[in-house]
Amino acid sequence: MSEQAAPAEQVTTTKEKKSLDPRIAFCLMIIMICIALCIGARKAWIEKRIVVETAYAEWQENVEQRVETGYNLLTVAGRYLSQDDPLVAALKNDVALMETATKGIADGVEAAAASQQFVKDANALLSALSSNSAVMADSRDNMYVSSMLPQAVEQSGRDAAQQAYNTTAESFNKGMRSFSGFLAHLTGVEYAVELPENGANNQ
Amino acid sequence: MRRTVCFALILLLLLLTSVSYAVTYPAQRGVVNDDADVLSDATVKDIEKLNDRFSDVRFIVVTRHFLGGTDAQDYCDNLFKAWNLYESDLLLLLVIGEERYAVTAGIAVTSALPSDGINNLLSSKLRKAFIQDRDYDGAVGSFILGTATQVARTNGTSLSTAGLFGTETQTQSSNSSSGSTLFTTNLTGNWWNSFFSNGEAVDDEFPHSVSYTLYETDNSSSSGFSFGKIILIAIVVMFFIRSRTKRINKVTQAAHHVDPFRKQR
Repeated sequence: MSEQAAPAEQVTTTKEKKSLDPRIAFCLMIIMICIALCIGARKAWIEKRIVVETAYAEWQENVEQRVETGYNLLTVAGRYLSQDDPLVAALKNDVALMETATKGIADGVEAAAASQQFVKDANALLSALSSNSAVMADSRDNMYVSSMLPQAVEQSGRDAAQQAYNTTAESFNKGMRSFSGFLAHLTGVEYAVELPENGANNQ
Repeated sequence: MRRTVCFALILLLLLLTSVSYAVTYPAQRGVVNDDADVLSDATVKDIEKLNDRFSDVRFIVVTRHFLGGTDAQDYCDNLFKAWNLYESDLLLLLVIGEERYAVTAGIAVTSALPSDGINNLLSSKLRKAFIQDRDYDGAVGSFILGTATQVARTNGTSLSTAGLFGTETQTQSSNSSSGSTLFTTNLTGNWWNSFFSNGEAVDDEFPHSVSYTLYETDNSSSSGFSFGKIILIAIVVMFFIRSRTKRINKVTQAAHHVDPFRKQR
């Protein structure tokens, strides 16, 4: 007599499939759509922001030229006028403010105002130097004051880069007031700073 | 993930190195770059002739009216690097409108001169002619001749300066044992050298000018990461990640390996 082992009882268990609550699924879907919208808006406006920043960099280059010209003029002026002279002090102040923009310290609003003032102050100083008898007696400095530096001031004084930047910035800010711009702003895309023209603050 | 992080770090390093070279400098146009147009054709030719005759030092002269607020020594140093000048080069920068000058020299030049030799040469040969007399040809010629003579004496090289910079006949013969110890040794420091100096002592007569010390550069020294180093680091990192990934995969496969004798139980 052989005993046959009873087959082991096969115990099967079925796992109950859990399904997501439709309300939760709906919420998740809405969240994912919002995230997708925000990512898309940010991506699109970042590219436009780069265009604005490129225009800003071109304006900064223009300001750098003015800063260099300012230093050159101050070097020559320092040989004939004292540091306390109001014309020298005014130009020094303009140069210092413009440098804040070129070094990225400030957002450019004060630098733009100083940049506008720079041409007037530089020309005033050049005019004072050119009527100085000591300057007229020095052939080298006379050449700087009468020819080289005025040309440099005139060339660096052209405002085309600032106007181009302001146009780009204005257009960008206008677009940022749309719904997608609003979403992009929420995700960290900042408005562009509009630089003052003719001494006015447009902000 | 690790590869992404590594690539991001490598890109960051590349960006950092590129930022450090953002300032541009003019292209070199020969050994004399007279942007201020103050040197005569004769002086330019004499500098080129001297460079042809004397191989121990190569003189490069740059003149500018202004530097726009940049420090003259910084500009000179950076120009030396930007033009990839080497250990036997000497770069003389004259900033006419600012009445400043600067010198950057390679290690082969400075080692052939006594300590503070270039400063002494600038004071004695260049300063007065440059600032007071505004004799730029004379200043450059005098300084270059003085430097070449000293270097030739130290190295024991023959140098003929006949007909250069207005000199009649001046030949520095090799193995010269005569001459002041000023030019070959400098054991006691600046005050001793200035006592025997041929030129005027440095003083405050020219308040608008500043004499600069020389800058020594070693051809073999490097500053920061070069592009080649970055590539090498990237290759090493990728090799490390790959070999680690392979090891992990092998371990995983070994863990899933099925024992063939197990089924029989």
